[in-house]
Amino acid sequence: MFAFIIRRLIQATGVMLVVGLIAFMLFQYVGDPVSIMLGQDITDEDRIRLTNQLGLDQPAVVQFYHFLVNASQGDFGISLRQGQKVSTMLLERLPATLELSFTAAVIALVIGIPLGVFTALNRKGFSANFVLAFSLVGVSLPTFLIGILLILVFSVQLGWLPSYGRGDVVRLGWWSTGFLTASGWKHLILPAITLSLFQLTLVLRLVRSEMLEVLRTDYIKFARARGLTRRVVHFGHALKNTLVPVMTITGLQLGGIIAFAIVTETVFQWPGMGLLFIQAVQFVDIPVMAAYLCLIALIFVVINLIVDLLYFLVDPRLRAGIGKAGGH
Amino acid sequence: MSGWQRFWDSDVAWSWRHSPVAVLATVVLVVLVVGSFGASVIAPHNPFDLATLNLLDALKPPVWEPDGDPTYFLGTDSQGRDLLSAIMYGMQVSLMIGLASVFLSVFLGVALGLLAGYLGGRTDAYIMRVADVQLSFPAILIALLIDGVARAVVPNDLHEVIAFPVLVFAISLAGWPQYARTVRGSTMVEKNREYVQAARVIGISSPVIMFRHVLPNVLGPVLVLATVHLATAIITEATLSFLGVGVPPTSPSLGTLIRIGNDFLFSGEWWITIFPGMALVLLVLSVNLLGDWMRDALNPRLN
Amino acid sequence: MGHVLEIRQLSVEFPSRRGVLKALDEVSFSIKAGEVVGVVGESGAGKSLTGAAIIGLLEPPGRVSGGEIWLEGQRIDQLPDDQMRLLRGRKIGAIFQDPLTSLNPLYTVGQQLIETITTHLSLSNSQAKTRAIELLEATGIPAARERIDHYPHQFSGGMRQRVVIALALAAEPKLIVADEPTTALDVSIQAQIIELLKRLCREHGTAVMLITHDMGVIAETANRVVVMYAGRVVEVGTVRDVIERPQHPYTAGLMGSIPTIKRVVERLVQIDGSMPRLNAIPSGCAFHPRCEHVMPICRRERPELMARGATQAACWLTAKEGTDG
Repeated sequence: MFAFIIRRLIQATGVMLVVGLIAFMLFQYVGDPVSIMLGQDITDEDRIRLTNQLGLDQPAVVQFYHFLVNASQGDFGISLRQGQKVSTMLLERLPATLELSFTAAVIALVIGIPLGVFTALNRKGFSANFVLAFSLVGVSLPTFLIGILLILVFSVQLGWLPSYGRGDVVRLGWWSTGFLTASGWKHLILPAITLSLFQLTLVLRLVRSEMLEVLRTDYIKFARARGLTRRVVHFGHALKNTLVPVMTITGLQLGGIIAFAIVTETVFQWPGMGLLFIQAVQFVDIPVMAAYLCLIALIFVVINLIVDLLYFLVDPRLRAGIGKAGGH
Repeated sequence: MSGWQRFWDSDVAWSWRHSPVAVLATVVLVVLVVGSFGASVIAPHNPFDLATLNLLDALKPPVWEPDGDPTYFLGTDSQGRDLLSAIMYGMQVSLMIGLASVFLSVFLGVALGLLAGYLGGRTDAYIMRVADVQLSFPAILIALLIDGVARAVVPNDLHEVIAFPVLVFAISLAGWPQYARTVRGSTMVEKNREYVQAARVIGISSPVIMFRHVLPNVLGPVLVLATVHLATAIITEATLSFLGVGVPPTSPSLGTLIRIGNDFLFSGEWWITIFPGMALVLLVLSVNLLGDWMRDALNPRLN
Repeated sequence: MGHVLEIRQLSVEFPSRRGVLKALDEVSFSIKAGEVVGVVGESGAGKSLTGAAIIGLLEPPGRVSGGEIWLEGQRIDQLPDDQMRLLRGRKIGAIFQDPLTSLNPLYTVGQQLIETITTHLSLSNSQAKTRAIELLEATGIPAARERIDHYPHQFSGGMRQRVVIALALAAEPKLIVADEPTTALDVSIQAQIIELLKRLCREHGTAVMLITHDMGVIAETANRVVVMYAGRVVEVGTVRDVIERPQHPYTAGLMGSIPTIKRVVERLVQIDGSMPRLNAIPSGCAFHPRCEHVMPICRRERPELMARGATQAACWLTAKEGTDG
């Protein structure tokens, strides 16, 4: 089992290195490295001096190494647009994105999984087919449109919920949370629902199709033939076997929520990393783009690792290793 | 029996005929496609011809509202452009980019899949690794990155020219792994078939023969994947345009229209953003419905 | 009456795109308590479907379209599913072909045994566990006490099938429907499993419906045999009679096509053609296109099971010569 972990860690490091390389190339070849690092208003003399001083005329490999060292400490230089340290900016907005993503993920799972199970078990029912139709519409609605529609109904027409910003937040150390204020929650509802809807429909359809597959297997047939109750067959056997593959795929999908947050944050002007990234792309603010890229890659890689480990823990066939038949 | 008649009698056509959803979706799709690609002929107005725009007609609501004007069926935007016409032209852009992206994706994916399957070994491992890693990154992010980098690398005046190819390339890059996987699997199955080994013994070049056997097998699954992918591509393009990093403003897609209309949401001119939105949903929904039906109809598992 | 199972004119149909397919057409036979009845025929003859219909697990859109199934004097083909469920495992047990896919890979063997036991018998968990260990030992699994906590993938194929048998017998059913129980196993293991099945059923007085295409297994295990063809029963009789004096041309062909040490033959018998598909069943007797004794009436009218000699055969030849012993 340890071999497995080590192998995955090596792969993860490899991916991070590749991402780092891409980010490094962004710095080097897209735009001007000197102004990236020090801002745009410097004289020509300064430029020449700094070029020497910062070792920008050194071979690329050496520079890459320096870049990696800096990056691993979170130092990506200074934002071209804001003039602040990139790491500070990102860190400030991280809680907003994480809280939004987390809430959306919870909604997607808490509603998506039961609905998926429901539609798998009640294939002919009217409400099941209605849910299925709804899920198809859900997949066809782009996230930003959902956001706009929700704003139209709940903010413009009904005036119940706010449509932009995060509301009042409470600072806990360097983290700022919106979970502790009523205003924070009010501002969170619409964006969280918007962000969760697409994932919800994906989870629903995945759970449904997996469960239908499982219900066709021989061991379910045998379980029924043994006279086990419907509840045990469906929830003891079928559900468990469904959730194992679903869990891994869903874990990876949920990583995508953090990236999808870009769109939601734009629609609702939610002060998170996604909004920052969009502004950076529009402005061609390389340091921010590169930093965001590396951070997202890190989050993805970590999620991937966790999901792999979970799979290992849950499926006994992987735990015992292959090729361990005992006795005749 | 003529070829057309044979097709009409086939299982697929039978399934289509007896699925009201599939028929409806196809009809809607045909209407949308004809309406958009024939926009220059069919559209009541030309929203790009500045000479025809009348600022006095700006912000008119749809025809069924009290202030509506029958010449502008769905209303106008802040510059007096007819919304219905704008939607038709916009859908043309959305469809073109979507279709182009899917074609490129399929081409890339099938080619790489064939390569990986046939060559095996390290080439295969390498290609599949890239596919795996790429699959775990959401399409939006990849597209945003490519778009952003292109924007930075290319001088400003060339932006408009390269916007379309870059967009198509960015969206298609996110999609090729799924085709590659399917084709690779099929290729590997065929590679182990006896006729390939026999051909090798004789000395005939097996790739061509193999591909001729692989391609019909993968046609079904690739078609299903492509249909669903088309829906995703259209949404991705719309999202990028909505975010302001998609098509240039001179040829707006449905996403661009929605973005423009978004500013008027709070002042009460809801139609400027809602109607393009509905058009987008209608388009994507019919593609999705067709893809869903196709997946069931082409499923080799018969009762 | 002493019959554990009685099937009368059972018909099963599958509505499909191209019309209704009759997969079972008026199948009738019975099984006495403690008896082993083999149901033999080619793939697609309807053997497994019969078994599925009896357990009440026909896959939709298949459905029973006619006839009756009686279990211990109670009619069961019309029972709603939740009542049928009470019978499954308790009165009727089932064994399927592939032991690897019959067991849930995520649960230990013990868990699956205990849940079956506690569903049907009111025992506490620890009592159930004891009984589970006894069952495993009875089916010949060594070190049952340790292996009860193992997962299915940790057993070999033959061992797994023993577990499956233990599971099927857990609640002491009166009838076991065994659908190709040895087909997926190594030949060397097959004999062991067959022996085990025979012994356990004899000890518990369980009747067995043994579904297989392997006549050799039937010859060794069964008391009587039912031969099926294209969804119909073509011959019924004791194993000895059917093997040595088959009355139906199809059965004769089947027996002749099995290599045996006892007889020296020039060539193995081969029946021309193949079993018809469900949507193309011939009129009259389903076998007539391939039969070398075919008569005009065979094409027109379908023969019922008629007694001739020691067995019953659905053949017009029987009627013709029915009068002479």
